[in-house]
Amino acid sequence: MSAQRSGESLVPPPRTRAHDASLPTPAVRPLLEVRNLRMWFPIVKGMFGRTVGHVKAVDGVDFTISEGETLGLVGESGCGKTTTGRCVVRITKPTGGEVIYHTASGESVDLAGLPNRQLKTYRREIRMIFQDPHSSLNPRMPVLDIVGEPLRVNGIASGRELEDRVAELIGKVGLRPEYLRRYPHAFSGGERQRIGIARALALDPRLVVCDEAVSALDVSVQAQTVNLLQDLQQEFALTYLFVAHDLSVVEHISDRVAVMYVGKLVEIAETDELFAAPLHPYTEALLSAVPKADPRLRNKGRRIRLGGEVADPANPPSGCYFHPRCRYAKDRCTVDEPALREIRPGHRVACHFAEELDLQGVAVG
Amino acid sequence: MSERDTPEGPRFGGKPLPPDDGGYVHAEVHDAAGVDVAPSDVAMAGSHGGLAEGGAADGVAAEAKIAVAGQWQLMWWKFRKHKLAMIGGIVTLMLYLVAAFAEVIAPFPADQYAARYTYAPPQPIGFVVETEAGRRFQPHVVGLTSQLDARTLRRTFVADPDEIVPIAFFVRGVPYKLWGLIPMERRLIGPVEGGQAMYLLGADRLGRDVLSRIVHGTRISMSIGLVGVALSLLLGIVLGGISGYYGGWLDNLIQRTIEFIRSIPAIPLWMGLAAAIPLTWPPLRVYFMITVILSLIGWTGLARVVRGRFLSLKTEDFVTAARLDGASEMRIIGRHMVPSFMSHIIATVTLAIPTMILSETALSFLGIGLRPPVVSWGVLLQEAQNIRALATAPWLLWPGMAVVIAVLSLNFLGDGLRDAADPYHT
Amino acid sequence: MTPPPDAPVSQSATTVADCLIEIRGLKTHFFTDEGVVRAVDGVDLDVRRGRTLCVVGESGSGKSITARSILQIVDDPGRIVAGSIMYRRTDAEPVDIATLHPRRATIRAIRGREIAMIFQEPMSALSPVHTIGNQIVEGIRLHLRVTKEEAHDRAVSFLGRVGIPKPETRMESYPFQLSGGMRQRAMIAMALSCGPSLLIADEPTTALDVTTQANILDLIQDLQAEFGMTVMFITHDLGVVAEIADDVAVMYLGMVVERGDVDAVFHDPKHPYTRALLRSIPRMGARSGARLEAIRGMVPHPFARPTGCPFHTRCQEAMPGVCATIVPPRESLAPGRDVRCLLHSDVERLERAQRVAP
Repeated sequence: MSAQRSGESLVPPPRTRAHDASLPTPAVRPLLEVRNLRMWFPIVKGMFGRTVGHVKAVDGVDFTISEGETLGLVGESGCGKTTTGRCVVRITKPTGGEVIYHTASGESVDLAGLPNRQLKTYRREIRMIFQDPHSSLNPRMPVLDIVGEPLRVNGIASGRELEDRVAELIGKVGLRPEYLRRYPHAFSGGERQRIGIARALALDPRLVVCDEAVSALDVSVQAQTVNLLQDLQQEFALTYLFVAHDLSVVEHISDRVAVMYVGKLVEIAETDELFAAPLHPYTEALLSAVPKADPRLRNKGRRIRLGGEVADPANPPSGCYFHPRCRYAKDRCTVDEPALREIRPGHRVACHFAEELDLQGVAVG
Repeated sequence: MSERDTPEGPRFGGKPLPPDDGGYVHAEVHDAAGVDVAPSDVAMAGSHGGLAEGGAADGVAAEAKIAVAGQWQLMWWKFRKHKLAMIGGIVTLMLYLVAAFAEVIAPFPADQYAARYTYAPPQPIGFVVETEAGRRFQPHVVGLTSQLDARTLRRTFVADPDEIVPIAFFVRGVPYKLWGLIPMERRLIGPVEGGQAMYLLGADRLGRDVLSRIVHGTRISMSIGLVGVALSLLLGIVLGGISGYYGGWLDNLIQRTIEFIRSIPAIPLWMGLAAAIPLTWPPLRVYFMITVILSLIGWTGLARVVRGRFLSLKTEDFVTAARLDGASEMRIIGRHMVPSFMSHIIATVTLAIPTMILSETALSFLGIGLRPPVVSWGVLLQEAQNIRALATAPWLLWPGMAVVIAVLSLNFLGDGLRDAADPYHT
Repeated sequence: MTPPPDAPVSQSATTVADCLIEIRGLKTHFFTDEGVVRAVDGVDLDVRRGRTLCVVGESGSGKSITARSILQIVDDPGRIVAGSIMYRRTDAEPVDIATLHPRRATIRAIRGREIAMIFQEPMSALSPVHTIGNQIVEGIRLHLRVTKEEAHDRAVSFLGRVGIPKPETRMESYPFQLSGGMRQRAMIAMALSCGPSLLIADEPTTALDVTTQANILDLIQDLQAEFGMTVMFITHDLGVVAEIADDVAVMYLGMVVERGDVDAVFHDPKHPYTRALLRSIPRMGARSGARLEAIRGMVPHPFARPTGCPFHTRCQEAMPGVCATIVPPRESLAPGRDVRCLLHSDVERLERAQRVAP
């Protein structure tokens, strides 16, 4: 494991996507099954903490992540995607539903209700990369202690051995092993994010939740980091839950994509299919709103502009949450809440009229 | 909602910044404030593609030094730039040295009196003596002769040029025990011959040396601040920590208690409590009682600071990360949270000491704090309460000067510490 | 790459009269305790009348500081140290803004009245303790001779124009009562209420969701068409640039490294940085599955500007011994199209010149 990659050697060994035809399709063993996940934050008022309502940040989310794949989770701010990620790593304890994790030895365990003490084993295998590379590293600790912390507290390595392990890890993410004694303030945003990635990798995880892991980075550094994440996935057979709002990055890195709106999953499908032929009007609008980095595509295709505001998760509208902003909404949408149903193989959508609508995806350019 | 999808762009210290130069320049520059050399992103950039023949040439070593500097090192670099705080720090240090070695520094014991020198004025130090042999270098004070005005019964002092009292450093004086343990007789400064009088800052009603009394008072006054703050700190950290870390009804209870305590007017509360101290108690016990009374209110402020820090750190990403790493609660508190606010606590404590000193002075001045024979600045100022005494002997106000110097220098020091307390943010 | 016949933006020659703002050799430096940060270090820019200029760059590129220099609102310890910012009004003599005192009446009359600015974070421009209406009315009455009632009506009409529902009621709202998108609209209404000839937009959509961003971009474009405004749009998002720009200036470490109309910059980029930047972004729909072509290294720290060409440390095409020593001059390729790269310069001539005058 001596391959030490610094910035300049980030140029390809060409990598193919996990689901490309050139590679055998990954074993479709599910790694994580999220069932009817709910995270309702109570709204408390007054001195005695009376609960007057709930913010339904996540409200009945279902999805499965297979081993070795990357599931992108997208949506606008406040849609509950970050909270979903935080429930999976159990930063917050969900108020309902199941998070079933399948261990390497074939056992299944529901993480949602597990008390903190019993979570410890699984926390080694499900790790997280944070959005903000500045606040996610303790400024008062050198790299050795930051990356070495999980090894140390889990009793995996200490002393000389710990130092070697950490040096190897930060070499893996493209930093010089000499930087062990440096503090986070000595690094730029992109480098700090690499340190965060090294920390996530320290315990040989199986699933990594990337919470907006590249959103805070500069354009040129973002690409490096995306590449790094893909390389590491290949090398360590990682599974990613990639939470992000940037659709073009999500399209690039994900095998499948799930779209959330006001705490609910509205659509989930293979990336290509979702981007080329979305079945939910919200997905269509979202895709249409992303500016295309080519002036010649300007004014090409249908421009869909959403009016109104994102619904308030404490007080969502009746029926389909999206109906007040939906251009295809009919009477039924104001009353009936659509269920997530499978329209095509592997393509599930929560819209009453998914079969009838002719929605527009992203033109392949 | 806990969720916020922040756009691309550099962020700093948890606050989103405009993802452009505006934020970049300011944030990075301020971040570096207090550091002598350019922050070491320089060196890092160098590693990523061989940067800057020009920029990296000057002082790679210096940058590497910053890169591996821990928080105390960074704080020191930042603190060092604050001139007033540095001066405050040095003066404070000197005051505590005086407090520690009061017996050595004071020319006389605090309670040595001489009736014939009642309200003797300060004697200036002379350096040259005229003798038959010519002019000679000899530090001295000129002796005083007193005359009693038969009509007003007031004693007036006149300098007696014939009586030269030679003085020197490290002279033999009245024997004493340093810290009640080590028998010594050398004193920092004093008359060369034992038994002679020297009043550099004048004498009080009983002819006691004001300078010696101020020096001895330093010990009590400065230490009462420290001990009082230490007690407040203990209460503040424990109760504030519980309040902030566990939250819930416990937090509610502690916060309401703090609000209740803070709503009681301080001076009457102190007066009531101090008045309840039995007159028969030995001075040492009174002293501790006073510190307890002072810290009874002092802890509330500290508890709030600690609670606030705990609350904000609890949701900090790096604390969450440590929890996900599998660190125990004790480790999270000890390794991540406490080091993150220790520097703030030190700054707050430093700023709390002057309040304690002032409170003690006020209580003692009013006659309900420490009482003679204990010597503190407040006790000394009690002597300056009456107008007649002041008119006769304005030098009795010197202890007030000591209070002002101590309070100011501690405040400057505290300000500097507070500014340097977080070297990672502005 | 030859521009296709249907290239959306025609290339028109720049003349002096075309330029609303003409920046030459602008240097804005920050004098900090630790040293001088050359945030803007020799910027040449033309903001052409009635068009949208996008200034694009990463953090530390100096794009915001350039914009702030135009309004003379550079924060301490920053100062314009060299260069000129010629502001050419149609009905008056040109003014060099760089020479104006930041707090004198001349610039204050221009600021807000003729050149307005909107920011990424509306809360930084709007006061939290005054209603939206009061703030807009105050701005109007500061610059225009109108009665209170006229100012009020004007404010309401502008709030309506930027797409705020029930503008009359919204006049009484405080900024915190509005959503992010609505706040941004209110700030735009405020900026436009005095009918500026130039609108400077500093990352106005960066903090917004894509759907809201699309609406705000549409709004700015509509308003521009309606009022014949000139827009200077600062962003790091190449997608936004492609969507709205007529002209593009690419900045890197305080310099404009490439300038041209949007089609030329996107389809025939001349500077290696522009090329690398365009290659490094993932493009929707282009599902090649291949790796992204990242630019190596990091943006250098402001204190450690590389010598010579600022980009040479990360450049794939850097010429050893040349790019590290010579600061590339501005080479004009066509009217309104120029590049600062030694690949496009006569290096030998420059080396000779440098030897003569070291």
